[in-house]
Amino acid sequence: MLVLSIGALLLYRDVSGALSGAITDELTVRADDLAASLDTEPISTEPSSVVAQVVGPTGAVLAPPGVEPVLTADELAQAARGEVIVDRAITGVGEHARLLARPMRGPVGEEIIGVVATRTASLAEARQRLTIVLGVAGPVLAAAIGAAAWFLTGAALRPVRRMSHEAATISMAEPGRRLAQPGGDDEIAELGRTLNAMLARIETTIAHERAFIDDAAHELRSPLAVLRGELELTADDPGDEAAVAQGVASALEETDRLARLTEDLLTLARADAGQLEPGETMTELLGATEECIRRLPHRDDAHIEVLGDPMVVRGDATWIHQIVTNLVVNAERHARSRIQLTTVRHGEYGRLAVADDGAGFPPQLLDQAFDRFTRGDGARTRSGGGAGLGLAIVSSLAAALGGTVRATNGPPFGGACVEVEIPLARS
Amino acid sequence: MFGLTDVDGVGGGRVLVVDDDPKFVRIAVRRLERAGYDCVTGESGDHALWAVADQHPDVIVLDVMMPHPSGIEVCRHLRADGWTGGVVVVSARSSPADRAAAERAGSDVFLGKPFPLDDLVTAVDRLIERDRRHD
Repeated sequence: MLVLSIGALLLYRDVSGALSGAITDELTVRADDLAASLDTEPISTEPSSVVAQVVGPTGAVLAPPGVEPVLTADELAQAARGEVIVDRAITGVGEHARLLARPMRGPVGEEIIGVVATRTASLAEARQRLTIVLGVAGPVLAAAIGAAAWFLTGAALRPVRRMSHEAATISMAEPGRRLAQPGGDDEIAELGRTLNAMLARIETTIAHERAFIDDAAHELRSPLAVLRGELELTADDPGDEAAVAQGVASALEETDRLARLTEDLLTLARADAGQLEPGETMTELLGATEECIRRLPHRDDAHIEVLGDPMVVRGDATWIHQIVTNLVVNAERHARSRIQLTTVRHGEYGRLAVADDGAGFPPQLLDQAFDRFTRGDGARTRSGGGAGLGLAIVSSLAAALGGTVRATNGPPFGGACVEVEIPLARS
Repeated sequence: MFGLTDVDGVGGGRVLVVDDDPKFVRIAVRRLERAGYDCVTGESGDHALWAVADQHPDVIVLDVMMPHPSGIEVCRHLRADGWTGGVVVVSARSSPADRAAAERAGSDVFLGKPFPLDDLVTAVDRLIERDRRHD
């Protein structure tokens, strides 16, 4: 409303100024004509829109003869010094009139004053009409514009309001529920698509987290069930020495299994929290791999060979050992008799490849080989297998070092091959 | 389904224990044998289906997460075939949804791992007694 009022005032000022300027321009032209025609044409006394007079320095009307002077004494004095423009009532012209007076030279060079005057009633009427139009039509126009803006804004934001209400009622108790997609291809429809895509991503993330929690709980409860059972049986029959020895050994195994699982879960939790800090330590990859293989207990019937070139990569030796250990333990579970570890330079990375001569990854699991709790036996069987966290930890460690992992089936043995690339140390 | 309260061990029946964890199978069998039951074992869903047809157990103790078919699928399959023996489902997954899935498949008792072995004996006792009353 304030903007509209300011606009109306500016419009009034511009229109009024333009009309007034046009009248002044006309008087100026007439005054020029009067000055040019002083010695050639007599001043007309016929009724006209513009009245002209020539007066002497004393105020006496020199032409046309027999008319009353238009100028007052003050106006005469001012006009003698220069051009003067005055708005006032002028006898013989009208209630609303404007006069322009300026010094001129007569036919023989004498000082005279030329006066031209015209009615300005049209200007007053125009100002009055403009005032009425702006004063009455302005508020009506403002109200109309306001109503239209309110209606259009409301109509445009209605889908947003509806989506907001819908979003407030969506909960994870209704997986798959989405916002009703607004029609069309405008910004509102784009907003709807964006929000629905966000809901889908959130749902997927929550589903993954739930699955992880379920899997973790399952992996923790299974050894706990065995541990509890062994302790109960031993407590029920403490006199059976052989049974007690077997129960205690089994309980220790399950305790180790729980400890390893807990450590693995903590490593992954630290990775998720961005707390795996590789530091500035560097390690020679080939030597660390050979040392790890020497320390690692492994199958008697499996031949493990380490090939390749020495190279210094980013990462602490304990991280490299964990990567090698997890890859070799995984390979031993599936290898028939051969496991090969190779280290090669690949651009700015050192690549460690661990291949076995087993059946390879099931094709449908290749893309999920590094997912948590992924196991290649197609079920949650624990016979001979781990919890399915080993490759996930390798992936997390490699990522923390700025490296990558890849799982394939193929050379050199036709079985599984897992490649880990770690940035080389800057020389 | 029903709750578990006593551990009398009525004995005298045959129990099939199926789990892919041999340690759990050994523990469950030892406790059930102490309670007087004759036990047979299996390590997969396929083995369970074969053993029911071949060994004629009175009660099956079934783990859920086994190589195909899962314990739930085995239970559903047996009920669809009209097998009326008792089924005790044991699982390390024991959410309400897991329990509901087991019940829908036709199981009689659900035990979430880890559980007291006495609960297993009590469950088997009840199912054996129920079958004897029906006979």
